[in-house]
Amino acid sequence: MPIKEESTIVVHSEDPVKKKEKEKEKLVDGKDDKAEGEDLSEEDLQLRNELEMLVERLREPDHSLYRPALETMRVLIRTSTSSMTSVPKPLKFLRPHYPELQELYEKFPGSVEDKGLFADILSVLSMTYSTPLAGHTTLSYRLDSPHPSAPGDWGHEYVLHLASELGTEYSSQVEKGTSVSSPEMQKLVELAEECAKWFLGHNAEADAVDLLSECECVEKLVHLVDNVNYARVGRYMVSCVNLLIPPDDIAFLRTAHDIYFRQARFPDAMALAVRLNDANLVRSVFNAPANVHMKQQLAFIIARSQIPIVWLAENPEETTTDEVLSALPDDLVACLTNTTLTNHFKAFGKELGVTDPRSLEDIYKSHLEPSSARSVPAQGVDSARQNLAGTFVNAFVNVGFGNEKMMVDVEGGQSWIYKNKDHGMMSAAASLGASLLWDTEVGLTHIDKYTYSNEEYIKAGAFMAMGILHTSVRTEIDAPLALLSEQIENKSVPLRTGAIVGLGFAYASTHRADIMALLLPLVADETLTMSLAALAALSLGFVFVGSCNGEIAGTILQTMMERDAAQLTDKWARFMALGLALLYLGRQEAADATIETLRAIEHSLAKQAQILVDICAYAGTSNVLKVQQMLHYCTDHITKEDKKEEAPAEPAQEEGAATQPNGTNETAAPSAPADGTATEEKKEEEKKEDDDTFQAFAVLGIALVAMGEDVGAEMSLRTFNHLMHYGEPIIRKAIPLALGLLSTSNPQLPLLDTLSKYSHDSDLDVAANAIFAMGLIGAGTNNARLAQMLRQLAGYYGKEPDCLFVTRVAQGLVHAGKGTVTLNPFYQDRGLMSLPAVAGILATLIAFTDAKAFVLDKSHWMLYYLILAMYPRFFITLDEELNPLPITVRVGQAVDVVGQAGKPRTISGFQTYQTPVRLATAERAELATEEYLPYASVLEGLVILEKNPGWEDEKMDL
Amino acid sequence: MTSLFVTVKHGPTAHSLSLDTSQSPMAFKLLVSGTTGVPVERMKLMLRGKVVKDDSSWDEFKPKADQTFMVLGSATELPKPPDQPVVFLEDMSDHQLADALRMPVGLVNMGNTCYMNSTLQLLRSVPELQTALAAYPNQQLDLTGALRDVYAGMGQTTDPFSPFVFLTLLRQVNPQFAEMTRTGGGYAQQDADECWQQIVTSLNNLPGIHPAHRGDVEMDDAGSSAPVRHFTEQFLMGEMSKTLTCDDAPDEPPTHSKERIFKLDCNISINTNFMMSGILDSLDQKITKNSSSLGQEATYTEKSRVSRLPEYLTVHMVRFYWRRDISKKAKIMRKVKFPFDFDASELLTPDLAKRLQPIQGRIREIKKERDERRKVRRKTKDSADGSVKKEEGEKEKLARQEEAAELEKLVDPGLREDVGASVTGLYELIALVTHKGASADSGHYIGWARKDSITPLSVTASIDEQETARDVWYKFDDDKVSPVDKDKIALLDGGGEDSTAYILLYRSKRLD
Repeated sequence: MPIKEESTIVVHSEDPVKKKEKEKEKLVDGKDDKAEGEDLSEEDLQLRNELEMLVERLREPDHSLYRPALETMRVLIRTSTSSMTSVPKPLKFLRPHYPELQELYEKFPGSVEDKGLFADILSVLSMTYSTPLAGHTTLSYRLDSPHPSAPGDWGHEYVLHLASELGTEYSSQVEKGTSVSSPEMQKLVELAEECAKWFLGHNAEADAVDLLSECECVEKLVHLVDNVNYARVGRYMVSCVNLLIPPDDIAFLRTAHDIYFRQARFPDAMALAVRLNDANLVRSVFNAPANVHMKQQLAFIIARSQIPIVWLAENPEETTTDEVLSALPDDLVACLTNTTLTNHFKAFGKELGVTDPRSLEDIYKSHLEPSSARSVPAQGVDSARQNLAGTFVNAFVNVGFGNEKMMVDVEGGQSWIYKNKDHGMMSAAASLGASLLWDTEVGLTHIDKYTYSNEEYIKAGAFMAMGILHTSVRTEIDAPLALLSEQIENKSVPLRTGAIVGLGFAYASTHRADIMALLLPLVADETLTMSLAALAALSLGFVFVGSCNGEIAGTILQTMMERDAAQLTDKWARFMALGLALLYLGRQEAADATIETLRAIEHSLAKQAQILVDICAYAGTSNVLKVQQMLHYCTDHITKEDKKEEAPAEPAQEEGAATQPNGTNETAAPSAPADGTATEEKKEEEKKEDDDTFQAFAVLGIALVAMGEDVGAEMSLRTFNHLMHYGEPIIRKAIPLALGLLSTSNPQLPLLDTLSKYSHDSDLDVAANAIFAMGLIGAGTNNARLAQMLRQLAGYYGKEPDCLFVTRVAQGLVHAGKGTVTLNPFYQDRGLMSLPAVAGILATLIAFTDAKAFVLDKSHWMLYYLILAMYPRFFITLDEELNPLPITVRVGQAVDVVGQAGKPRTISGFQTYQTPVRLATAERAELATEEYLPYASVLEGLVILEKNPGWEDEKMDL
Repeated sequence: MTSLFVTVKHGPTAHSLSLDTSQSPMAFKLLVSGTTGVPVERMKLMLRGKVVKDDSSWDEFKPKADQTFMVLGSATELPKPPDQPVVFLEDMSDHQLADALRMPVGLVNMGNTCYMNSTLQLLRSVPELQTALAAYPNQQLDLTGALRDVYAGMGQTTDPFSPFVFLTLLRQVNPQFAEMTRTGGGYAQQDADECWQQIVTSLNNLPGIHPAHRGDVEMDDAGSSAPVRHFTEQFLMGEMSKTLTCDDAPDEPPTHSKERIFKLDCNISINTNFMMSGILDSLDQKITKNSSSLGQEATYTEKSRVSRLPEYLTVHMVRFYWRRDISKKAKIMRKVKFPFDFDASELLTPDLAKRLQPIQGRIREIKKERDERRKVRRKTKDSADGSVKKEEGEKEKLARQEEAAELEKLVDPGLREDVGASVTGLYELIALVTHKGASADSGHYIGWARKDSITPLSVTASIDEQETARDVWYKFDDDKVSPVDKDKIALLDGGGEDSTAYILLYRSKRLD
């Protein structure tokens, strides 16, 4: 029997546990049944004989005996119990007869009923016998059976086996091109559903999800789960999403959403609807609950997510925000528009005892700095650079509290604003927006004073501040639009800049058409300077983040095609590309058409844009293919090759190329050419610059794509390490930034060490970026170790104004909001990625890819883009009247409980606090009392509590 | 009906006003102005994303009852720029910068003249010399006059100064400094110690400071009762008592002599690790000379002890010596630790030591007490307005004044009369010259001086601030002057080719 021989060999290699038995069987087959039989106990012997007799019956022609024989066989198999490690006895004894039984089955003369029974038994038997060559026999016999018994009747192992064959069979059918609607496929799907049902009833949710996913019908789960296992199914499905390739991930999310929705878990459903970026789902979830408090809770989630409020209308395109809001009750509007955020934040600060403003010296603690920095005398002389750094530190540290002593709470003449120089005044005035953040009522009055200034930069900064102030808050008055729209057409470049940037802040992620009407003409206007056009595009990117808005995309593409090549080489052009890219943030393949269009554009900007669009589209998806693609971009050593080619031709050129890798000032290039050769040289140089800028974006892209998932993020760390060794200067410069993006507001020790190393790099650009990244990963954490490192760096770079400036900013970031805010774009238990937050961080990082041209030059206000990502890291419990309700909660490190059996603890190493509490990036909270039930599923931000109706006060019992 | 009730929000406060849409927006603004106090010209009135302009009509806005208007503008004054625009470090010229930072100027190297530059900087940290030089009347061009002009010039400029006249004179007076390099590439490098000696010697015509009123300079011809000694004798020179005993003939009576000294030499031998041991080594020497009693060559022990300590004590690390085998001046690279606080009592004659003993004991006690007090001060938490710290500072100042008065009483009367003599015998390092390189004929000299010896501390600064300010030093690398930390100075003790202390200038501890 050739099949037999084969099977033995295969089993050998596959399953050592069964080897012994197989060898025994070989013996049985080979020569002496009796010898084997002697080893058996009497009971076993009897069983074997009985089974052999039953097989014998089937051979006989008497049809009437078939039924009892088969029934007996079935009973024997089913009732046999055995340990996990060995095959049940009846199966073992029947195994030698399997081929024979197969033959018998082929020409089975009995009734259809009997044949079905026979098929059932063979299906089970073949579990011990099925081989790759023999095909999916378990499955095929089962499908043969006209009335198969429920798969669960044969035990867990059988269902698992069946499920695995089902999966492979389904995919092989798909490969063969069998139509999904064909009866065979339908049969498979039905069976899969049946198995899944059984799995779900037996605590094997993961298997159920896997099986249905293999059979491409996860949506069936919605009707299979019940109110007991939905949570585990949902959790498993959501955690799978990062590992799936499109379009499965979307299908999973939708199914999970539907499950939650069906089980009336609206907060979870809302979170997934937001993640899917689907207006219809958001609307349906929002409108579903009848409970007003649940609705408020959903409104809080919407407000945190900053999704456009028009999504709540039937047809978002034709409705304005005002119309939506006016149809809703006032208390709900307040929740939706974040107007209470400032009060909650200030109350939170008060509770933590951090209301008092911090001075610069409180942050720098220069008496702790290593002494070499101290010895630089600065007796009463103001350094514009240091004061500018102070402006940012003050803005970040006292963000949102509106009581700092440098800008807000000062007498007019003493204002810190005048301690800044020219463009510094712009950032100083804009810092008002940061320190008064979210407080639209008081803030505007403060800022308005500066709009009457004679100094153009102050006015511009004030306009910017008005926008910053309204970040993530919407008001009925719509003050930013009223005040800034008239400045859009102003003659002065700074004022226009202020207004354009301000609008970007105020209306980030609102998808408001009136803002588009204001800003789009600026993008389209080819006579406008590149900086304004690019900033307008960027602001539009913020406003329409993740919207795939075709009109804006078309206009930006048009501009890229029509503008002069020299203009596109401008340093600002990258922000135009970024504006385009942000439109597709998180939208995956929706960006494909745009990327194709970009391929058609010849200018090197198109390549940058292409990468930016690509990485934005897949941001946070941890798509491995995208990461690999980005790595490919990084492997090119452009400058080197160019140098080799050009070296013999023109020695002068070599000089230009030689300075390039050292990270020299790239802005030096666009200067008036002296003669023909110089122009040529310049062109060459420019080409090269642009050619490798895209590599910086690719590096950021790796982090942007990988940051959604922990394993991917960790792998990218290794990749960066390699790139740091072998990469070109432009890549090395971008790596610290990428590290900062990966772990924003999450200062993990290994990362700190790496960045600390990079912060002493001999290339000062790398060092400065590393220092900034240190600020990013520690943003709002008050991390003492990081603070110490930065103090040390402040001493080390005491004589490098650029590095010192960045160090100061980083110090400000680490203590941002006095430790009450986070920059991490992930929220809702790290399940959701805030699009405007990613956009804001990305814009800042892009500015840092050429820090000398932007942040270290005159556009330091770009640091404020980080404010788009700033959000309080509080957990405040509210009663049903939306007043703060202090209760005890436990806060600890979050534990991944996906797929774990039972009811595992979701946090470890917890401590008990009274709300409000602050949560770090990797922390989770749970209620310590059962007196209240939360409306939200994830305990962070603002959570409404409901009194537990089943709660009995313990005192009453006593 | 044209009158509506609307809400007008001004900051967090809301007012309910009646709006008459038949009238112009200006009229409504006046009404709002009356309620909120915001002047009309600085008022912005907003409704639903639009600013209500004076010349617009209400039709544009279609206000409805109960709508909310927002008023921007404040009744208070607008922020004003400061009267004096702030001048920034980055905008300053080098001149202004040096002025603002109060950095002392450097000296231009005029061809291997770093030995002179560093020595001049060393001398500059003697404020009494500045006072005395400023009063030097002699207009004729001698070295003293030239030195005066150098320092005057340095005080007036912020650019590096070229002491050309001084150099020329120095070379005239001491032709060895005009030696050329053997390779013919200009003037040769010289020994800073020799330069120091020559300059100090040639200052011998500089009149000293009158004892009666220290600080005021008495002219030579002012007809004072007691003859005033020269400046160098007062402040820079000490007196050494030497006792010569013959080892071979114990009966021979020891001979006593007195000698003026400019400096203490620190001989560096294979055992020398500390400056003090090197100095002691040089004080006790064996010499061979003809003995009058024995009538033959005999070994004598010469024991020198200091009988007068000047206010400014110079210690010379004898690092260069003539190596016969290679006919070259070689340098001893050995690491010799020098103290920041130097106690000279071991070097004194018993008589002087006794006179200094009471005050030294008390100074040590006071130092301990001060440290205690500082510790306490550091622990006390400051109140919000800084008043606690201020009070503490005042207290400390008073305590110090008392201590100073107490010390003043302990000063030996004889020494008090002797202008320029150290009354404590305790010294602190204020300046030094270092030499970098392996041999005497090459290398580079750099001057270092404590900041407060060049630029006096601000009087307003608190005691603690003053004390931290003492830890800042200046490095005078020819024309380049930079601030460095005290820790860096401590590293200049040798052991390698990097800058190594060569001449150290100690100043007697003040009684404050």
